[in-house]
Amino acid sequence: MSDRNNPFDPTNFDPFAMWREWFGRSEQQWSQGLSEMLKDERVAGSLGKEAQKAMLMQRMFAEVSERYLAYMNMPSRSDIEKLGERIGRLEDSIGSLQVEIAQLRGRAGSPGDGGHATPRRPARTRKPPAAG
Amino acid sequence: MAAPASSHHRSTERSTERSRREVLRAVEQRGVGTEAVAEWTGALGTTPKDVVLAHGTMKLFHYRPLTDSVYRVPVLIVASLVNRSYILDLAPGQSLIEFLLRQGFDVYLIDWGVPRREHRDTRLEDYVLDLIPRCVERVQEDSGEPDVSLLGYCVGGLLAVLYAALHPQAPVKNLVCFATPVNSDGLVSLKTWMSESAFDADAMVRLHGNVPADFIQDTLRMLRPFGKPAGQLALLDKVDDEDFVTSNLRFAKWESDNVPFVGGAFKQMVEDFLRGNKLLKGTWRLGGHRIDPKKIHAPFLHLVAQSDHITPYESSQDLVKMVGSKDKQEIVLKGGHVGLVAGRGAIKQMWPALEQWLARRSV
Repeated sequence: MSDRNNPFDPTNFDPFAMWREWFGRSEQQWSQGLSEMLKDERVAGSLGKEAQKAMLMQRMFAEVSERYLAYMNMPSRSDIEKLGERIGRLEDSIGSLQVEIAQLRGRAGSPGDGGHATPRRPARTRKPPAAG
Repeated sequence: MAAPASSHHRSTERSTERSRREVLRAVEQRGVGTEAVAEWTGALGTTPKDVVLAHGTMKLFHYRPLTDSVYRVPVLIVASLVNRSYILDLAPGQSLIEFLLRQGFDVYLIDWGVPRREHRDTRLEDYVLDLIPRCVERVQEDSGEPDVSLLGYCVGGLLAVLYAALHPQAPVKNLVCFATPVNSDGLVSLKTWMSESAFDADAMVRLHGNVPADFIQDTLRMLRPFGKPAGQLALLDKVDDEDFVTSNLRFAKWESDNVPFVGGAFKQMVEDFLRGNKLLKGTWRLGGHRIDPKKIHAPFLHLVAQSDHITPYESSQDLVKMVGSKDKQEIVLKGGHVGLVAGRGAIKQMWPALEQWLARRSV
């Protein structure tokens, strides 16, 4: 019987599947090897400096492109981010309103329910199943 | 009767084949984590819930009970600061929260939301000395119970430990942590990359305010550099296993959905936790108070994963020794960091182990 998950089965020969199998088996070793290399303080130090430079470059590039985009009447990434932040603030306000409405409903519906909107609360009497 | 059944069978086969082709095309052409694949997984984090407290970006959710009776002690879950909380409620059948509800627990969750630039100065003190205490109070008020079981995953577990250690009189009935790091010497790669000579945390925070989600994601991926392509190829091998593919794509969607790390707390984590290893040394102070996990006396459980490359066992194994609880236990389970809470292994191992431990202590 052929096993369709076994790429080495001659009835199911699939070189790409064999390559995937080999990649999957080797991945841990590669990841471990690269991680070991990255743990070296000198490598980490130089990578850190490169990352820092890349961050500054990105910042400078963003500032330049922002001016060009403004010139072309187009929104920049920071404009979109600002918009996202405004939406976030609105969402937060909606969250607060939801809580207040739920509390008002709770008080109107069932006093002493901790101001909760859920109509019925289950009894807090559950016991753990007896140990078998 | 045979004809409709057979036609139904053929139509199901056709639909499965179509789904398979869609997944293959998406994975091969665009890579996992794209919008096309994300849409395929459906909505995540959909267990019905109500917001019972909102403060800034933080929301305290109460999940609607699914049983006629619940255990007396409510469960309060503290989510991580750098990931979306829906990893604990991925989808029906793959949700720790849904499982707890079905076992009769009354579940609350603190979701920290997505920080904005205006939150760049938020510090760990804000979470541990202000927001978590507020949430605990609200759970007490909402449930009518005097105490809570506190659960935390990863950095959420660390926040729960810091809170419990700094509030020895807090109404914590039980404390459960999942994959919670406490010893930065066990986080060898992160510690080297974030060392003073390699990384300028101040410059990062000055430049961005909050640490960008992309940076967090890239850093976590570098802990296992070839893990993502290997995962994608493994997905192609199991493309006819619809459950496996869907579950895997849900993980991929979550993994590509990090949130920025608030600047102030990030600097504390780098300087005090990673570089200084102050929690283990007993020299970490928040709000002028020294953090001493020995002051935690609530029953304590730590669930850790054997092959966790994000929180390696070397970084988490000390927690059970550090807490002062007499009733304490550590359970090491097979699997990785994410699989611990939401993988197939979680469903078979972690969830039942948690239920068994917590149920007896929740009456």
